[in-house]
This record gives sequence, C-alpha cells and structure tokens, in this order.
Amino acid sequence: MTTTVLAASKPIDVGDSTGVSRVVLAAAVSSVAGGVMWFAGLQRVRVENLHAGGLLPELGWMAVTGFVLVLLGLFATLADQRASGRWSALQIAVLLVVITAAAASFDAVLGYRVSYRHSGVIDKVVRDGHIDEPIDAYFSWPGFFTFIGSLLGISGVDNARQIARFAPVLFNGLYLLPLSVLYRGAATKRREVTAGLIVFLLGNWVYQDYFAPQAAAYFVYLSVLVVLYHCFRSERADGIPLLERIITVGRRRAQRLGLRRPQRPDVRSAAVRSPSDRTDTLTTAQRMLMFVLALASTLALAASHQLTPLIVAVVGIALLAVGRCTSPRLVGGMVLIAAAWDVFVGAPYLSGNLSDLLQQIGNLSLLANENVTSRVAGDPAHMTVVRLRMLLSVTIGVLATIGWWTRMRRRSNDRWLAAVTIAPLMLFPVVSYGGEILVRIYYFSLPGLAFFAGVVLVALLERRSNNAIVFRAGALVLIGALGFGLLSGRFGNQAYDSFTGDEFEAVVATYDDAPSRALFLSFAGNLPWKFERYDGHPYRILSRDQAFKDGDETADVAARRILRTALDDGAYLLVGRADVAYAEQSGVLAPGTSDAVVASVLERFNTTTVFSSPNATVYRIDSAKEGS
Amino acid sequence: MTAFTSTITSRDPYLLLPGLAVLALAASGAPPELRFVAALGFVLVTPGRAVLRLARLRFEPAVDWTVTALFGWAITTLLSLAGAYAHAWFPWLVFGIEYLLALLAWLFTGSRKKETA
Repeated sequence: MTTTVLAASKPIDVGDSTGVSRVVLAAAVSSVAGGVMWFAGLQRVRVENLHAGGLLPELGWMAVTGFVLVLLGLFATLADQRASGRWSALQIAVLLVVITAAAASFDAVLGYRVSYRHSGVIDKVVRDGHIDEPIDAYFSWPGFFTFIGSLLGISGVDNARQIARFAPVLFNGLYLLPLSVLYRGAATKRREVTAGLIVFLLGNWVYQDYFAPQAAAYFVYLSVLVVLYHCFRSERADGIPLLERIITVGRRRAQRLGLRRPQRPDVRSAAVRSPSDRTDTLTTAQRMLMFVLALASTLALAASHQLTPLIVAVVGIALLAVGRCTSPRLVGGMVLIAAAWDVFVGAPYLSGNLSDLLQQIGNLSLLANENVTSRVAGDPAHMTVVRLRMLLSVTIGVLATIGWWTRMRRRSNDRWLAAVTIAPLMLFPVVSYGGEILVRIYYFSLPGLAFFAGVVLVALLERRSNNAIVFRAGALVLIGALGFGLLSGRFGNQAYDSFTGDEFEAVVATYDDAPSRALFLSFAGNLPWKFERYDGHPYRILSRDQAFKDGDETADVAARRILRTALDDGAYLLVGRADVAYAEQSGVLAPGTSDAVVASVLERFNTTTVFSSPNATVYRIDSAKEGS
Repeated sequence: MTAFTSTITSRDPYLLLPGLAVLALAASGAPPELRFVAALGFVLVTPGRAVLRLARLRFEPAVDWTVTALFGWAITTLLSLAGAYAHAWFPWLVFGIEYLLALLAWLFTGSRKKETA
C-alpha cells in the first residue's frame, strides 16, 4: 500500500539559516515588545471618542511606538539574509495579530453591524433547522451559515456572536497558508515569500475578513488557486492559439524594432519543470479525484457567496486564455456550477433584481459613479480616509507593476500569477455589487499584487552599490508608508464600525420590550441589531426611504410617516451613537438631522423611553398626539 | 510498546485525534468557545485528510494542509446544506459521517511509515 507523495514546490534560495544573527534576534524582540506596547496603548482608546478620521488620530504615543517597533522588526528581518523561516514566521504572526486583533482589543462588544446580521441569519437557520422560503439574499446563498450552524451545534455555543469577535485573526491566519504555498511556487528567494505575505497584510485595508461569508469564501478562493496551481497547471506556451499568435507576432515585431532582446533560455521555466515540481505526477485516477473535489469545493463556494464563484470562474477562464490550465473541463464545470446555483437557487433574488443587474452590464458611467464618485463623499475627514485608501491601493498597484516588470526582465515565468492578479478586473464592466466591485477587485487581486510588490521590497534591500543604504532607506519608508496607510484605511471607519456596550444594551432592551412584528426604525441601519428575531420585525432605515431619498419628504416627515403606519403593531425609534456617526460621516444625512427627527417625533407622538444612555436611546412610539 | 499501541501511534493521528478531542471536550463540559475551536479544527483537518488518504494522495506539507482544509470545509458545507434543504439537518450527524469517513481512512490506509516508504 503506497501513497503518492507529491512535492510540488521547486527548491528556492532559502538564504543562510545556520545560526541566528543579532539583528534577527533584535528584530524579534522589537516586534514582540512592539506588539505588547501596541495592545497596551489600544486599551486607552475609547470608542465614543473616535471621530471621522478613524482610529489613527486617537492613537496615543504608546500604541504608535509599538506599531513602529513592529514595522522596524519586519524591516530588519527582511533586510537580514540570514533570517530563517521561523523568525520570519514569528514576525508575520506578530503583524497578523497586531492588525487583526486590534479592534477586538478595545471594542466593548462585537463590532461591525453586519456581523450581528450574519449572527441573526445563523440563529434563524439553526432554530428552523431547514431552509425553505428565502427571506432575503442570504437564504439563497446559505452555505456559510449552515457551516457555522453545524459547528455551533457540535460545540454547544448558543450564538455566533460569542465566536465572531476574533474572526479576522482566524481568517487571516488561514489565508496565510495558501498564500505561502502560492508565493513559494512563484518566488526565487524565500525573502520574496516573506515580503509578499507582509505586503498582503499591510495592503489589506478592505476589512472583508470579519465574520462573513466573504471572509470564508476568500480562504476557499485562495485554496482553489492552490489546487489549480498544483494539480492543473500547464507550463506549456500554447494557450488559446489566437492569443499566442498575437503574442508571438508582437514579440517578433518588438525584436525587429529593437524594443525587445532576442529570446534567451528561460531559466525560471527550467526550474519550474524540475521533476519535483511537475504536476503530471498525479495518476489519472488521482487527477480525476482532484477534479471532482475541486468541483465539489466550487459547489460549496457557489452555495456560500455570490461574488467569489464568479471570480473563480473568471480566473479559470484567464488561466485557460494564457495557456496555464490543463483542464478546460474543470474551468467549464466551475463556470457551470456558479451559473447554475445563481439561476436555480438564487432565482428569487435574481428575479427581483434582474433589470438592475442587466442595466449594469457595460454601463461604465453608472459603475464608475457607484464605485468611485458616490464613495468620495461625506465628512471631510472621512473623505481623507477614502483618499488614503485609494492612495494605498494605487501605491501597491504601482509597486506590483514594477515588481512584475523586474521579474519579466529576469525572464521569470509569471504568467500564471499575473493572470490570477489581473483576471478579477474583468468583472468591473459587468457588475456593480452594490458599489463595492472595485474594492472587491482590489481584494481578489491583492494576493498577486502583494507578491509582486514584495519583490520590489526585496530588490531594494538586496541592491549592492554605493547607494545601498539609500535603497534600504527606501524600503523602510515604503514599509512605514504601507503600515500607516493600513492604520488609516483599515480602521478609518472605526468611529461607526465599533459599538459601545450601551448601544448593544439598547438593542437588547428593545427586543425585550417589543411585541412580535413591531417596527424598528433607525437612521442608517448601523446598529448592533438583527442578531435575533431576524424575520420577526420589520427593520426600516430612514435614509433608505424612497420619499426621503427622492427629496419628496424631509427626514422628520418621512420618519413620522413610517412610524405612524406601524402604530398598531408597535414602533420603536432607535438612536445610536454609531448610527448617527455613520449617517453623517458618509453623507446620507446632514449633520443635526437626527436631533431634528427625534424632536419632531417627540413633539407629535406619545412616547416611552425604553432605554437611555449617553450613547443610545430607544423610544417606543405609543400613539399619535391629538391633532398631529 | 504493545502491538496495539504501536498500531495506534504508527497511523495518522490527525484522522482520529481531532474528533476524539471534540468528543472529550463535549463530555467534559468544557467552555463552548473551546469546543467551537475544537470543532473547527476537526472539520478543517479530518474529513479532507480522510478523503486524500483514501485516494492515496499526499502533497508536500503546506499544500497538503491547504487542500485538506479546503476539502474539509467543502464537505462540511455540503453535508450541512444537504441536511438543511432535506429538513434533516443534525450537526452531530454531520460530525458522525465525517468521523466515520476518517475512521475508514485510518483503518484502511495503513501506517504512515508504509505510506511514505
């Protein structure tokens, strides 16, 4: 009885791992001490003091010094060629915890409203024990919720909120596994792997790693890439004949014009084709099994998230187009599965939104408006955060382009990773994804972007010339810029992503008081609600009311109308600090509107205060006053 | 070391131990959060590994763990979904099916020494 052992990665330059240099030791101490200072400093952050600029302006000297020490540790480890994999892993682990556990360390309760909503969907699915009528889109893509529901059932955890707080730490830890595999496949030096992982963590301002289907689907996406790379990768140059012909003709023209040097032997390809790295070591039966399992993973993915299967499909198509995938059937199967789930199971959602979705295809002005113009709006400090996010993304994009170009000049065989990086862009002219598609494209391109950007960092650190110190300083500045760009971008919405204990207690008090089907009204929906009785109440959001959005009614008139329609079943107006901050900072409500609405409601209705604190107040609307 | 102990230790512990840990923690009344971590570890390690070993597939460690976690996630998601759509969703049934798969892999894939020989 034997098992095929498939060593899939080529040997790469691991540097001198004998002994530990003082620099590496100092870097480790710096990182660990920095991490401790960072978390100690974060304990002084008060959520209610956060403003539109996010977490960065509120950080004290201890937290900032701690973060700088962590970055210095990263730089020193990267700069020292003798740093072994374990020391690099320690640095990356510290960075991961520093970034992903930060919010949980100063939040009194679970942050981010959507985490509560997802917890509520799981609660609903677990209580019902089955999925029948889809209440909303979540119930057409319920894979993540049933997966977590099974784990809750086995472990006896009452609700998902108990375990959701540290989801970013867990998910990012999981991401690093497939990422390191992919980077090892592409890198020629171990430092490029380390640098890529560092840039990935520093570039991930998107904050899609909270307790959500997207976070789990991203791990699956990266793992499917690993399967495509290790089991279905082609190193042949015969992709789509037309594309290859265009490339060949272009190369010949460029050579004739002197723009391109004649072909030299592809040293990287030779390394890739070493016996240990050949994907054809799988037997036919094993390849068939991997084929089936890859399709099963795609099915589970298609059942869990709307967007990620589409990304997998376009990445598969791109790999076929550039001749880097051996199995058109697998890609075809992935496309079919993604489409079939959307058409058959997602039909209720699609039928209600089909005209909107069709309208988006090819409508570049609409897509640009939803993804860019409408996002650069609101409070000036919030706009600064948005611009810094753009700058961080563009910086990583530019670095990645330089890194890709550098490797191309070295005749590295990067077509696989380049295709995976660029492919998500194909979705931009097709779908808006609620104005988030550009952000998601960046997120799905980040693995490749981070690797190529990391190549630049390593190149700067390895530069041997009289100006070597200048290049090293450049690398240090880049790491610093990325680090503080991340603090600004990732935690830029912290004023309304975090909740105080009061705000959570206010919602709990409302659930305790409210009869079934009572209406809950908020300004912008940014409350820690829906974690129970997911379909037990109508949850209305004033800023999304059509008459208000169209300008037909002012906010107070719209609020009174909505509340009046629900008086028989009961109605509640929830006023939360984070909700008001979100409404005002993102520009959906003018500053002061919330106070005017509350005053107007109190003037026209008989109300009872269900909960009151400096950060949250809940009014039960008992009846309309006479003559109002 | 007895033949029995030798048999136990020579075979892949990741097929048996995570599931045993889940059962032991459930029986001991450990905190739910700890039991959740154990359950997550089980689904990410055991079912995927069982499938790979039954198919005589073993990749280099990092790839192996990645593929194991991917397939474990997929198998658990699909079993849970099937149960939910069929009105027969019982989390312990999902666990039982996966652990049975792991036991089969543990019994029929031989010792690790033989596998890597």
